[in-house]
Amino acid sequence: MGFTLGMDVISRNNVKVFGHGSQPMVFAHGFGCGQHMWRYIWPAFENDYKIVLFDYVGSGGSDALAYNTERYDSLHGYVQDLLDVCHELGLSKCIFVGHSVSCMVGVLASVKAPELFDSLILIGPSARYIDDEKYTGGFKQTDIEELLEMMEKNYIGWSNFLGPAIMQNQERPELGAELTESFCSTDPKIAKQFARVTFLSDNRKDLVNVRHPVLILQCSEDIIAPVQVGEFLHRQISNSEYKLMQATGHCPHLSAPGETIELMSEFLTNNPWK
Amino acid sequence: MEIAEHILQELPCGCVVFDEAGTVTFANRTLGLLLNNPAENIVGQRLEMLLTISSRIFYQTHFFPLLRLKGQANEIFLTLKSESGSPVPVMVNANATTNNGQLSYICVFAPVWERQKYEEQLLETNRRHQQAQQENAMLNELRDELELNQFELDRKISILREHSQEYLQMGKVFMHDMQEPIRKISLFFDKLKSKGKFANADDEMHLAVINKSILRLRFLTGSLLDFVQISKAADPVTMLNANELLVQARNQVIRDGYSPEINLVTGNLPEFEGRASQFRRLFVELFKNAIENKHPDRELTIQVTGVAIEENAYQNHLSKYKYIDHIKIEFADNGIGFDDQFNEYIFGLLNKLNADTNGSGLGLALCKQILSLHYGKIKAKSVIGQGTTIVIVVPLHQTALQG
Repeated sequence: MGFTLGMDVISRNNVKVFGHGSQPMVFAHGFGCGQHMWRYIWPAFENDYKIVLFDYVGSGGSDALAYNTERYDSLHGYVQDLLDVCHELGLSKCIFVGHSVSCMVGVLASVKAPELFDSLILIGPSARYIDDEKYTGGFKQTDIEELLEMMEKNYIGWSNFLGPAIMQNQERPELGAELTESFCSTDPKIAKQFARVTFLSDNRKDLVNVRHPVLILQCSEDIIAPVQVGEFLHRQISNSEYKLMQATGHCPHLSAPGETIELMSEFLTNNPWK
Repeated sequence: MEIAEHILQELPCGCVVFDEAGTVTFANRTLGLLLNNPAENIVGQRLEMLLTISSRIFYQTHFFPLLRLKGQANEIFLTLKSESGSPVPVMVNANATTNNGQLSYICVFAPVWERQKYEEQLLETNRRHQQAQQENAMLNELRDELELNQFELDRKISILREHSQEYLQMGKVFMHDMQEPIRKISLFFDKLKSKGKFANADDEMHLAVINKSILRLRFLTGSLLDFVQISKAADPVTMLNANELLVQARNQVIRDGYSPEINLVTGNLPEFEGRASQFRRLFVELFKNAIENKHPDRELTIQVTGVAIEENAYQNHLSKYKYIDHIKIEFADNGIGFDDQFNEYIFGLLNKLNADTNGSGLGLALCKQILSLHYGKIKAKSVIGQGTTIVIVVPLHQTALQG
């Protein structure tokens, strides 16, 4: 239901499929980035799994013309992107690996179409970023408004993210191959709407509906998804395993790929469903 | 060397070096002055702790990934937080560097007090301009779209009106026009039969076939009439309790003699709006379907679960999206199952996969119609030998703008 017909999902979402295994491992990037975020992680799994990378519409190398402000006005449009990719490739029993906001995209998709998924690996997940009386999300409404303003300021020099200086980085030639592809969201308006959708959404009530085995990778000192948030998720999702990482910050897949890979592998080997 | 150190400390911008974990390993004096906090206190802190909360998010989602992947990040606007808590707007440039195999990042912060004011004005003007432009463009687009839609709608209403006339006409045909000839055939057939003696066994057999065909015709016209009439249900839309409806439907199926017992396992199903008579009927059909396709080796068990999801309220419009609350109910049996490639065929009118059953092939088509009448959807997934799951998705509220 709601499957987007008449559109080439593969190019729309810049889908990449490779690897030597049969079970799909689908990587979903977070807010502000694209599939490149995963490049330190997937090499560890490409021998045993079918690796699927994609960009949400409006991010990375996706087709920004396919962006629809109504569709992407809530996480459900992003959920549809993920489901479209799975349907288009005929995937089932996917191991979903999501970072940041993608964790909730994966959660919602797994509730909507459980048959597509085998297990979920959530890196730095949060179901609600803004505090209320009984819940600590880590932010106040005003923080988020300031963020939106700051993003706008940084898009004055937006070319910094895509500009020629970055495209031809002489010092890091190993990055050369992917520099032709854009890195962040290509359109400030899209990025701003994505930020609003990400930081203002509330998916706490959806957590109890998750039926798949879940691994929660919680970073130490992550200001975007603080430890209390990870623990909250762990309590709400009955079939979840919780790992507090030594890695700090919000991007362990970039800053501590070794630890990330190790914990993922451990979960996948122990997962009795596999 | 001393001069270099002096220059570094006195640079007209703040300068820090931080390691891969984000811990500051060096901070110059200027930064200390900017933040109203001596440089030696800054060393050892995590870099993001020097930022305001919103800047921390930007640092984590944009700045750090950019720096990590590209080795540099330039002209990024961030806000530092001074020791007293007041914000310090800065322009940041940063580079990755390797010293003795150790990766670290050098970062300079140039305060942009004046530039920031100017930029804010610029942004504000820009924002208003863009908003006006956007609203204007949107209004124009909407106006065109509305006109087109009204035109389309008008045409579709004409066609729909014609169709529903035909549909009702068909109902009349089933009710009267077709019943009457069948009745007559049946009547005179009985008369003939009671009168005549038939010479051979062949004739006897042919008569039996005619008799069976008459019964089949009666059954079919009755079922089709039922199918046409279900859309005319007159009861109002109310909040439905699926658990109750399921129990009522099961009891009815048992009472009607379809099965002596049905093992029904339900979770806590969410409530939703709809017409009770139609959904009760839907569950009756699903039970009958499950009974007809029961696995001979095991007791029939039906498991019903429900969950709240969000679905696009628009089902036909390709570029319209409005995600609203829906209920997804899964009705799973442990019957014989069927080849999943027929998962759409089974909802077709008079389509039957299992020829051994007495069903008319109308049950699931009826279910589909009931869902359509409630702006919902129905689909099936099945594994041969394991069972069939019927998935129903229906809006929580029947009024489009609710939820």
